Amino acid sequence: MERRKKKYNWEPYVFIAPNFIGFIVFILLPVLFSLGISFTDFDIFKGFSHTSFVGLENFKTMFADEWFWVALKNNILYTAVTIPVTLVISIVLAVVLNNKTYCTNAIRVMIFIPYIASIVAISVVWMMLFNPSQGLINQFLIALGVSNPPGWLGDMQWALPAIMMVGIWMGLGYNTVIYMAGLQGISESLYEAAQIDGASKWQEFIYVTVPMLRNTTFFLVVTSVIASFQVFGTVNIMTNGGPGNATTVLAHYIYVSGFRYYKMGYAASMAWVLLIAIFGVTLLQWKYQKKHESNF
Amino acid sequence: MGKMLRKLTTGLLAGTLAVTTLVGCGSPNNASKDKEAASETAAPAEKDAKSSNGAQKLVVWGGVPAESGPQKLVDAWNSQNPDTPAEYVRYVNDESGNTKLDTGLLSGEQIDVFFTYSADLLQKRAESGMLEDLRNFKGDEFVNSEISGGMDAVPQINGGLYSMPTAIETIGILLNQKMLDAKGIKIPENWTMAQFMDIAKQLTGEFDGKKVYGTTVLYSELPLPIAETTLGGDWIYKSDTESNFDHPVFKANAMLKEMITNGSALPYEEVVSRKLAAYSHPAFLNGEIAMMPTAAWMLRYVKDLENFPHDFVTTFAPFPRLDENTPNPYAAVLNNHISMNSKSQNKDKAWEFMQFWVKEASKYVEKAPSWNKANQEEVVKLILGENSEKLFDAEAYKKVMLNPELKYSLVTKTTGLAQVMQIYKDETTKFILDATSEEDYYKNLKTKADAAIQKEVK
Repeated sequence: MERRKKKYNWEPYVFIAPNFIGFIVFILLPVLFSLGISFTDFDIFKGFSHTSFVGLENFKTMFADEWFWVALKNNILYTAVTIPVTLVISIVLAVVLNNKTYCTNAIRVMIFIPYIASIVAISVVWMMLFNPSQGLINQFLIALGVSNPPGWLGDMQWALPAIMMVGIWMGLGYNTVIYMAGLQGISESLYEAAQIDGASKWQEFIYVTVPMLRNTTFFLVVTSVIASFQVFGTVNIMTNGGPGNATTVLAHYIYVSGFRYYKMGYAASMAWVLLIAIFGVTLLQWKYQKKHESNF
Repeated sequence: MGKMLRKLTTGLLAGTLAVTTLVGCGSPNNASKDKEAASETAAPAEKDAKSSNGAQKLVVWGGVPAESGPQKLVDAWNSQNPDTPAEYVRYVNDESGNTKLDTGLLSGEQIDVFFTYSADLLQKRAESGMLEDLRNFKGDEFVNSEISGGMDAVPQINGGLYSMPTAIETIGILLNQKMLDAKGIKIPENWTMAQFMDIAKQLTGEFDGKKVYGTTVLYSELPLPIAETTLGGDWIYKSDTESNFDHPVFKANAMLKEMITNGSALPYEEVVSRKLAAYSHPAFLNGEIAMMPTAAWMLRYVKDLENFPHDFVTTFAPFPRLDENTPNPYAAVLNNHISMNSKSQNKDKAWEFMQFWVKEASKYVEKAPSWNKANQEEVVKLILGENSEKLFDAEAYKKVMLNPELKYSLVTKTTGLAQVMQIYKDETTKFILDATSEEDYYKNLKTKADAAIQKEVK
């Protein structure tokens, strides 16, 4: 009895309390609140007294809402393109930077800056780059001999790819730094063994580096998927979902529904569908990872 | 004992941390609660609801920058009413700014008087009970005797009067006089879309070694308001349950698109990447377009030679009509609606202040006032500013923007308005970018807008 009592340490709880209370008040309660209102027709003008419970009505509306599906499709496209491209470029960058280059630190800082820079500043700069007549990108394309370069943000076909390009550029720094940390953990002896077996540099990369970075890659895929499903800032600033609905993504449509159409209940229900989708995808990834871990 | 002491210190430390964190997070809430408590009880903690010298205070929220007139107006009020001074708080009139105002109102922050700039929001705020019905103060009599157009031109929601317009926002077209002179162009009276297209084409080309487009065809992210000026405030509604996009006047949009296609209007890609879809003054004042759609409040950019240096005189024309037989007089909107918070503790003073604003705005705020007794010459002087002859064709301004024959565009229907506007914007973009044919454009507009309205009706 005496022993059991001694085991109970309350100090750690007190130490995490400030953070935890903040989490409860500013994250957990609002999240639960949003679950609650997702079954109602709540909006800030109605207040609670005029809000009525609508059951699954919001979810039914959602599945018949053309905009929701377009947003989801754009989200999936965005994720499916940006993540593999970002990962491939950053793994190559990490290997290059890890080996013999000059000014490694300077370059590392340069590619990391987009990750910490203000998304508004980034978007504004990219809007200038994407300017169809005076922008750097199209000037460059014209110099290369492209006679009719894309209109980028004002073009139905190219607006989403333009947003993706910015997303990839922003993600590179962080991913590269994480990969570089991963590279430190690979034992030199593996490379020596490969060299003795006569492996080329390319083979070393494919058969040693890439498999040994599997856990790092897994970590990056999971976090990137979660982040990419929530892409909002670049879309909101650069295209506002347009032209037409070419760059409408879920987070943006949730915002529009909540704050432009004042349908908070509907917006909350979409946010929950987004949360469940992300959660589901993450679970799948864990399962896949576990299966492959055992083969290792 | 030592262990005990350590535990105690740890606990105290963590407790302090927790408290400071919470206080840090919670202070804004506490502050507003204090205010609420103060205004409710008005007893010991009066200093929040009252100004430092112990007098009552009015808090006024508006979207016009304080330096564009409101501050001077509030100063004038304060010198006459030292016992109830007013404080002007500027909020940015966009989605987040309006949300800030709405949450402030809902959470009981002291806001006695505030401004609303869209019919949609005005209706929502009135229906949610945020606004005082001004008939309680005989506001209808005041409106009829003091405001241009009287009660017929003022939004009434479910029979109530929840706001008074303080300004007349006229819309029209600004033109670069230098470019017109170079081509010897005179804008015809009551010009039509066909003439507008023709003149835009003539104005397109090189000017001073720079590529110039005749015009831009987007305003407020929508096609030029030919339909709105023809049909009036409820231009998108055929009835309470049906949209109006099959009305022939919307055919003007196909002509506007044609102007982009034939190169006499700024290309859409250019418009989007430079954020010119809402307001195109940067391109106009930089001499890249010869004509630009405008609202009266935008003249402040023409006067801002520091940020927009230019050396041409700006003249004015009304929006073109679809054809000779389709007049479009609805180019003026009574706007900048001033309302009273229904929870205000100083309603009588607030009402006094609102009347003061309506009558005095013409002296301080650089906007055409809604007050029907304002001195027009003084208003013109205030709006066009100093050196006006170098910047503006004042005669054209009076003729076009202060035209007494203009009718007020009054919005009375708002069912699904935000959604329909979004549909209008998206479908028009697709049409301009050739993603839909002309036939599909009008068909989609009609069916989608009808569906959006009917969804809100049920």
